[in-house]
Amino acid sequence: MLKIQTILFMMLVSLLAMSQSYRISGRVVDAESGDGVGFAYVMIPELSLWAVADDGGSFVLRNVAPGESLLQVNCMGYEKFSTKVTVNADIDNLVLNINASSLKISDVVVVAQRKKSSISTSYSIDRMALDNQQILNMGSVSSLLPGGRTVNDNLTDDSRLALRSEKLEMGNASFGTAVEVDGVRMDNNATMGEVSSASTRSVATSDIESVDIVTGIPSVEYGDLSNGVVKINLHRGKSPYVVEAKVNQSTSQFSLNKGVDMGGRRGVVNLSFEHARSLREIASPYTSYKRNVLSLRYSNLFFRSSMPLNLTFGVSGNIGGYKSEQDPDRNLDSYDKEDERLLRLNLDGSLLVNSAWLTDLSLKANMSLTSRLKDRYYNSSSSSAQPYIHVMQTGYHVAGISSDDDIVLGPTGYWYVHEYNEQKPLNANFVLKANRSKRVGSALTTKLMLGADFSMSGNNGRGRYYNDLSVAPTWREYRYDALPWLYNLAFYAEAQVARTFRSSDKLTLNAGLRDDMTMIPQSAYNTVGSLSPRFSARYLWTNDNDGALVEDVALHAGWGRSVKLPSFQILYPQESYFDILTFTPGTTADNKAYYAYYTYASKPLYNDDLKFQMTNQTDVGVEMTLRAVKLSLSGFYTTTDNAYRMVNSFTPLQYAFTSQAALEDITIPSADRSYSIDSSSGTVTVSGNGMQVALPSSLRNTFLKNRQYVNGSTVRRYGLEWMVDVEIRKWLTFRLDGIFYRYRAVDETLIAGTPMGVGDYLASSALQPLVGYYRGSGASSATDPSTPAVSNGSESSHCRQNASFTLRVPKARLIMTLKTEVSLLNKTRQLSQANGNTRGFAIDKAGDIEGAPFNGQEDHYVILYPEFYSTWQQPDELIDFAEALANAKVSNRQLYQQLSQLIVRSSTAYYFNQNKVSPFCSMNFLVTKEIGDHVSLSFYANNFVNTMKSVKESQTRLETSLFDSKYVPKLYYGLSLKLKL
Amino acid sequence: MKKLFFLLLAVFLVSCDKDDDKTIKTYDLTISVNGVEAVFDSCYVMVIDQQNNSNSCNLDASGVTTFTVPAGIYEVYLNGTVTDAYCRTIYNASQTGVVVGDKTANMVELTATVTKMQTANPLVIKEVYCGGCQKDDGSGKFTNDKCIILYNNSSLAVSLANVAVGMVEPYNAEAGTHSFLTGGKLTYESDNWIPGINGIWYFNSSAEIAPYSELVVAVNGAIDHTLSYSNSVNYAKPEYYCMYDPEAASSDGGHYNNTSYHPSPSEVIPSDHYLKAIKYGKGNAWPMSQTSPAVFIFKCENNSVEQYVAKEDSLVYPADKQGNLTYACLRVPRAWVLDGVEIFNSDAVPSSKKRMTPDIDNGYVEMKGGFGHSVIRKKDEAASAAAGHDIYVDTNNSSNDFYEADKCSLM
Repeated sequence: MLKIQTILFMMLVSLLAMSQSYRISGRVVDAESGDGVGFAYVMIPELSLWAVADDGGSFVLRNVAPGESLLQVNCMGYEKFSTKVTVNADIDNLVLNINASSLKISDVVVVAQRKKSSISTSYSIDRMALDNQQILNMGSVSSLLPGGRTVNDNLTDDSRLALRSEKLEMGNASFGTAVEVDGVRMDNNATMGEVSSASTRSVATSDIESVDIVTGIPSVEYGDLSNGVVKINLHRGKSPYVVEAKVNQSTSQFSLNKGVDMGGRRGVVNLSFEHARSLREIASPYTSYKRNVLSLRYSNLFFRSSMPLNLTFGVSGNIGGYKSEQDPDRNLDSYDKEDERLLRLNLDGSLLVNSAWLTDLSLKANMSLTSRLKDRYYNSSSSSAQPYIHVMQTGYHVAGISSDDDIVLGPTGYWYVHEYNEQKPLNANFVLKANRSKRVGSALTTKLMLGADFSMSGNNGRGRYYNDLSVAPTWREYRYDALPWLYNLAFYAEAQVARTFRSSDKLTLNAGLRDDMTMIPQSAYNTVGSLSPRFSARYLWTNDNDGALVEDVALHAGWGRSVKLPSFQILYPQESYFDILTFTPGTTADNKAYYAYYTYASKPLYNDDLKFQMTNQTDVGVEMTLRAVKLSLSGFYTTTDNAYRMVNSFTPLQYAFTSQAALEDITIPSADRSYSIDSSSGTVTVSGNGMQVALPSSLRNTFLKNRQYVNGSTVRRYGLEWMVDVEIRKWLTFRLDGIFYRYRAVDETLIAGTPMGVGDYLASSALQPLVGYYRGSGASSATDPSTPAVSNGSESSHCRQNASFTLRVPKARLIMTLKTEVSLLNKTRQLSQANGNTRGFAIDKAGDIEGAPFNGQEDHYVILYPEFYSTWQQPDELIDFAEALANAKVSNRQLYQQLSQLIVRSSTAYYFNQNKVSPFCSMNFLVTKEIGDHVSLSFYANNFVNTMKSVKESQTRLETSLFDSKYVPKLYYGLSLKLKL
Repeated sequence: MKKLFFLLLAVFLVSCDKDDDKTIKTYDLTISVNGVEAVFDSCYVMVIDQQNNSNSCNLDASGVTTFTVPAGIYEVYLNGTVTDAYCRTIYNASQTGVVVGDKTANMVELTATVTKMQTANPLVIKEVYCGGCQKDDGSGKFTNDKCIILYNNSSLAVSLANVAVGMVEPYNAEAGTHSFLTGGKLTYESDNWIPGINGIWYFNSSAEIAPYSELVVAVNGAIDHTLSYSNSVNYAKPEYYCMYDPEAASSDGGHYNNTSYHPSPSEVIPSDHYLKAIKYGKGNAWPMSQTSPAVFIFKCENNSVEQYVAKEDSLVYPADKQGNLTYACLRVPRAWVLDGVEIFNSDAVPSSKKRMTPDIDNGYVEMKGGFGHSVIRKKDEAASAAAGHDIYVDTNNSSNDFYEADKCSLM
């Protein structure tokens, strides 16, 4: 408590304090040529001060508080530069020599780096690393993080980013991973049909300057996330023409980039064009994905001498998409394609007020519009007229031949169907943010950030549709453009206090709070509020003794909560339609049968109690410099609560079925008959020759299934990430990076389910459908409904260790990396638990109905009883299952058999065995060679030894070859050529 | 016996002569029988007098025979039996009070009554057409036109009451997993049953199959497919049967109501020609393999098909798939199986495995799907010639009994 009071006091003092300030002016110059470097950003981050050098490289920083500050320079095409400056008077003519990024530099870095002086765990990957790795798809960038696994780039693979998680886990980690391109959130909330992070394969990787990945506690200015942020920074600044061509086994990429100095003080325009195309199969050109990205960014600094305003306007567009055609040698004109068009606009203004009360004011306005049109054109044929059900209303309907009929009898013979699915997610975002940074005395620095963030998401797409309803198969219109928009207004405040001790030790404390108000008008959810507090602290100790073993140590710790807003898929699950065939007269001579169906139209079930998915994250770490060794270690513990889950609900349903045998006694010749059906009772009437005969029918009972989103149980993850960089020689470095990761989740949501289907019985039958209620489900995807399963969770442990040797030959402008990726631990196990106790029963024989409580016994079949069941007659009465089963066993064999069908069984005896995969490894080789200042060549080979080793899988006790397996990438290689003109 | 009769008669006459010194007058009693001309050599006529003395003799080729008897009152009987592979045919006729004497015609005309008895199962699967045919627009194959053709190998009409059609797990012989195959041995081989997967179809109790006749069962799509697919089959014929029962539901609520697979049958087919389904597996169609089914027909003994399936232990699951409806099978006693045929995909014979036990089918027949091919039982030429009707071989070995034909016999 005392500490909190101290912090608050320090913040208050800082706000009120006023002190003297100085000016730093100087020039940013190219270290080799001595020429001024225009458009370089010169910053003192801890004071929120910045300047942009003019085209001659000159800059001025005003109102710099006295004391020691870290001055940083960022400029496109140059290595990041930082230096300490001690300010106790005006500093003029400061010359900052910066190095152009090239392999001539002895300490060039081509791997991901732990972001220096960040208060929480975050990594940065710069252009040289992206070039060296030849990244073509942003979805694979996480392979550069500690312990990352190499992914062979192919754009037909639309895998999504998910930080600090593995595949097939609960908690929607991908959905909770935020991706920003130049400050524009790639919002996926308005996309229907998926619950995941946004697709990143449309991002032109050649236009990326750097990537920052925050896996720890993000600043409160970042909301609508639960698993970290990936920030992609695009080129901004003056540059020569850069022409680049990359090719690997399946993908080719061509790009052109140029940063044009408009002259005088007219700013810089960055132009970028990239074309990339991937084939799914090397041998066949018929399935491919391509992107054609054109970007234009204008940035300029206004009011340089008074109140500098740095303004950036960017527009980026992509025309591309996926196309899959049938091999023309094998089929007709069928194809499957997805046209993808993307327009991204961003306006970013930063005003350096630099007054006592306000240092910096920034305004961001951005918009992202995506249009995805899936176009499926396929050949179809039938010898019988098929009923295409387009009914939107509950009731009985009979098929007709007009395309306007609710049930259309389709054609016979041959035809084509043109099916579209249109999504047009649109996201707009406005941010107003104010920073006040102040130094009090020489040791205390404070920063206060206040901001407001308004975002809106909608979808102007039409959904799935057909232009010709006469051939449109069973389908219902569900227009995305009719769905209510999602609005979110957030206010946030973050305060940071940094105190310097001795000469250079530093304690930094950061506290922030974000309040999101999410408005979903015209829906049951209306307005929902959520709070996200976040705290971080960092202590840097620097050894003043030159030549000491330990040069510096930085410790950081933080805790934060983040909230992931629901997406349209969660808010507006598609309507359910239950269609059942209730009458079929015979097929006529022209192969038409006037089928009748009962349709139950069920509106989406809103869940008034739905809470927003929330992650509590604890992040601790240490960074250390031990002479030539740099060490970074981060630990994390996250719990995700209220993860979104889809469940089924069941409603009793009765319908009338009319047997065709009822037509046997009808004397009306079939050619003269017409059929009608009463839409509410289902009575079929045959008319003709002046007669009308109502056919007898029988009533049948079943259940209607509908979908609903609920909150799942807590998901836990913890782990340790490390990076150790050792400079063996100036020209040879060694890196060890790895991760130990552990995941555990057990879902205890009570879900309704019928493992053998819903059942359908005559109303007069002694048997009627039953529904079971189970504790938890093993479903990991929020897009699929949770269904009864013997396992309701899993636990896994992974330990991956990568070792890289990097050889630099600056004189030859050559860099080579040999990377070994080792899996030391890969262990997973299915779980079946509830309330910390056992949940299922281990049985001796596969068909048994009774067994011993399941406590993890290996090599046993496992069965799961529902906790309750309900009947068709009384669906709301939950009956204890185990008791009912025991009673029915002795008194009601028919019920006993029926109840037995509600028992869920493991498919194999080894299902619950732990699957421990023996250690394995693969090796990659990368080389980049610059030829003069204008030409650069890179080559890589993933898994270049094409390992043929085997691993043992303890679950089945089988050996699996690594060749073509999921454990290591396939042998893959690529080449790139870069020209700077 | 005949000799003894005449000896006794001679003694009797001699003794009369001795007593009365008078010759006994005899008469020719001519007996003609209608309806036995084709089997005259298998028939005989017996004459019995009032003292229960009898005499018999065979008919000639015109169905006539003559006895020389004294005047009196006689009983005349016709007896004959013809036995073939599947039937015993009994010819009977009689007339009593036949008076033989001077003033009578001494002629008897009998009309044989014919009684046939089935002595062995005459029902066979004559043909399985399951691979589909090529579409007219070159877009591939059309496979929703399968059929099974049964044949009655006998001269006796056979009732199809309680006769059902099933298929053995797995659907395809070349499937990677044969759930009942352990260590290369079918787990049910040492038991007395065979697993019928997904569901079975049974005939209306009044259905029967005429002697030496075939009966077409359209498995799916009992309509005229040739209107769209010229290489396919026209099933819109009133004498055809079909599998159609959209009401049958498995315990999961599933019905055979997939209208592509099971379109409503042609209205020319009477609904009593619809086979009824008992569905216990998953899915909305009866998924008979397009490449390699193992089809069998069986007849429920003692119970109706419905009663048998309703029994508590009638369903059986593979050992590791207990309660899984996808693999639910009917435990069909092998003694009930009338016929079965094991078909292998000719493109995948090395990976195909047997599902039928040797007592049902000790071999297999290959077929290439998608090109209109059909698997047809070979004709027993010798037996057919002898019977004057088509008789098909049935050695319980498809390798011998069937051949792959270029097209379905219904085309």
